[in-house]
Amino acid sequence: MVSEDICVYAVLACFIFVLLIVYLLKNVSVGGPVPKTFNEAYRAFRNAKNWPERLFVIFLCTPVFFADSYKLVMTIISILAFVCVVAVCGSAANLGFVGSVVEILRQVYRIFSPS
Amino acid sequence: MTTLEARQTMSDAQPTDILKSAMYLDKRGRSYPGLLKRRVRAIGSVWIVGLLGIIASIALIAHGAVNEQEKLLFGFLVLLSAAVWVAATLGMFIALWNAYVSQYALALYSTSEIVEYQEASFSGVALNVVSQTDFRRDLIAGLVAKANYPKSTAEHLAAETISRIAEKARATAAHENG
Repeated sequence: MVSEDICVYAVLACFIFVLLIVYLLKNVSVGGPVPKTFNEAYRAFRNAKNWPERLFVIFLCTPVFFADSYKLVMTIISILAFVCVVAVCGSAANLGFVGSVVEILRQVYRIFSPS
Repeated sequence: MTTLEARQTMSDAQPTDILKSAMYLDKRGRSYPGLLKRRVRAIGSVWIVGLLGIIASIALIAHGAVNEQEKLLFGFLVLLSAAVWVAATLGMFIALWNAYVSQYALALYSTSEIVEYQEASFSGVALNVVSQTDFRRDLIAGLVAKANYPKSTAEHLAAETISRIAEKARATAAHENG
């Protein structure tokens, strides 16, 4: 049986992890004279006249492709991690998902309250 | 217009496309190199946090954990820190790759702009050469002499005119540039 304190610390750590990932994703963005979104990249590819030009557009668009995929994957991982940790902690304390969220909030309040 | 005059006109003009691209100001008026520096610093700090988290969690497992539950918690912290570290490494790679591609595109734009500049400069010299009375007189005399040949056509005369103007303009530009 996992104690309530351990569950709370685990969820807090996961919350800090999510915050760090959000901060990271905010800073990993495409800039400079290159296409910045999939739509821009697709338009540039369609406007290319021949295959060497299309290959060059693909080369220019690689940061956009990787940055967008990276952001999507990291968002899914951080959401899954948070939900899984809350669910596991809830089941360990026999509270269920919603009950565990309420219990964790109560414990966080208990830890950080001045009294 | 001489080469020097053409160069002066170019330098007095508005910022060129390459300069605008190199500056690349965002909505808040920040330039791309400054923005990139800020982003790399932010990603680097997250990378260091991840690395410190891994080291601290491993140290806590080895020395600070009293019971199995705490070991479990610190193991979980190692997992989260490693995930942050890997994510920051990938983010840094993408940011630097984007900077490389941007610089490559800028270099290409600058090459095409230099070619345009040289074309403008050369055509300025050619116009200057054509406006000289002596050169025009020599050119017409040469063309009249050519036109008297039995096999000369209008295409031959046009080619001869262009070639003479180009040769003279090249010689003048070389002389002006020293």
